[in-house]
Amino acid sequence: MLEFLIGVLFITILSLVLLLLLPDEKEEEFLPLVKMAMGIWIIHSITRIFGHSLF
Amino acid sequence: MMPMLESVIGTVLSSFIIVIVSTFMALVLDFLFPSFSRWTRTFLFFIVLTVVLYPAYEHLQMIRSITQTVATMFISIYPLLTASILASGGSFSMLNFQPAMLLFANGAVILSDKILIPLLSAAMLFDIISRFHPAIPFTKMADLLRGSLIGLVSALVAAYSIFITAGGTISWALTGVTSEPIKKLISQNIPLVGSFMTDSLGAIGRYSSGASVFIGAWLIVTIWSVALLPTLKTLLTGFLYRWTAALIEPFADEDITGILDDIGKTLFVLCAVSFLVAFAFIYTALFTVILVKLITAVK
Repeated sequence: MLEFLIGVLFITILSLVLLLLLPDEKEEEFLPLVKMAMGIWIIHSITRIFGHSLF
Repeated sequence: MMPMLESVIGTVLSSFIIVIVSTFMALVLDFLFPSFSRWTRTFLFFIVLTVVLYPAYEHLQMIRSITQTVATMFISIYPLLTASILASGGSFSMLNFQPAMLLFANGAVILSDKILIPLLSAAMLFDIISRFHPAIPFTKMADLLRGSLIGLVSALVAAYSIFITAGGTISWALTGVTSEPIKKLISQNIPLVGSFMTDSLGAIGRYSSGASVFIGAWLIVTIWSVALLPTLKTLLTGFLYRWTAALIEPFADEDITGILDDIGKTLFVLCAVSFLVAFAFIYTALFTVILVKLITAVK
């Protein structure tokens, strides 16, 4: 639980800092990457609850 | 009552004044340097978070430490209480004492320590993330966590009240006809947890009326106020968050007011959790006092 939360927090802060540094026009291209990262992290956490590992 | 009010408002008010002033400063900065607005928003967010999260976190810590204290009290006193009740025989039968109640209350304390408070802090974190980064929202998760917590806690209190009324103790005035308008007023005006609060107050009241025959009404009032003081403090702080959100809404970003509102909501749920702990505390304290009275009366 704690690890999942820390991961979510990390992805949020990292992507926020990157979004701030990137120029406006690149933002559209970068957002799907952030969503993908969050998706991978959530799926990974769920599979780990059931005893499997995504990677 | 007044010193407590002053201390609560005093500790929280200064941070809320910082929030109001910094929101206004961000407004001015946005007007002067429009191209800098994204950085301004981020800095404002960090200032608001550092200032505003502290009182909420302090309350979480407070309820947590109280829960641990009550749990320790239970574990140390429970064998003693049951043993002496067995030894004293018939004198406790008129109180309709159920030893299962003590176990129940103890379970509630451990539940709130191990599950409820961590879930509540997770809900708070999800709220902040979804406001901070609207592209990856966790609002449904946060709402679900809060909703299920409220459901769990109210189910527990319902179980308590069933246990108490099944014992057939005398009904207390709060459940009577005269207090019905007051209960309506509370349950409609305190968001989320209002109706739960009046219900659990009724449950506690029903129980302590049975015990007031043995220990004076003043002692009951004292135990009540000691147990309910943290709850009241949390409730007051939650309201202060929402008042600040309402105050700065015309000129602040929607994110900032939203975050204040969400933290206020979470504190209301924390208030409900602390009710559970208060209930457990009242139950044990009353029984300990009754036991001491009985022992001294026999001598």
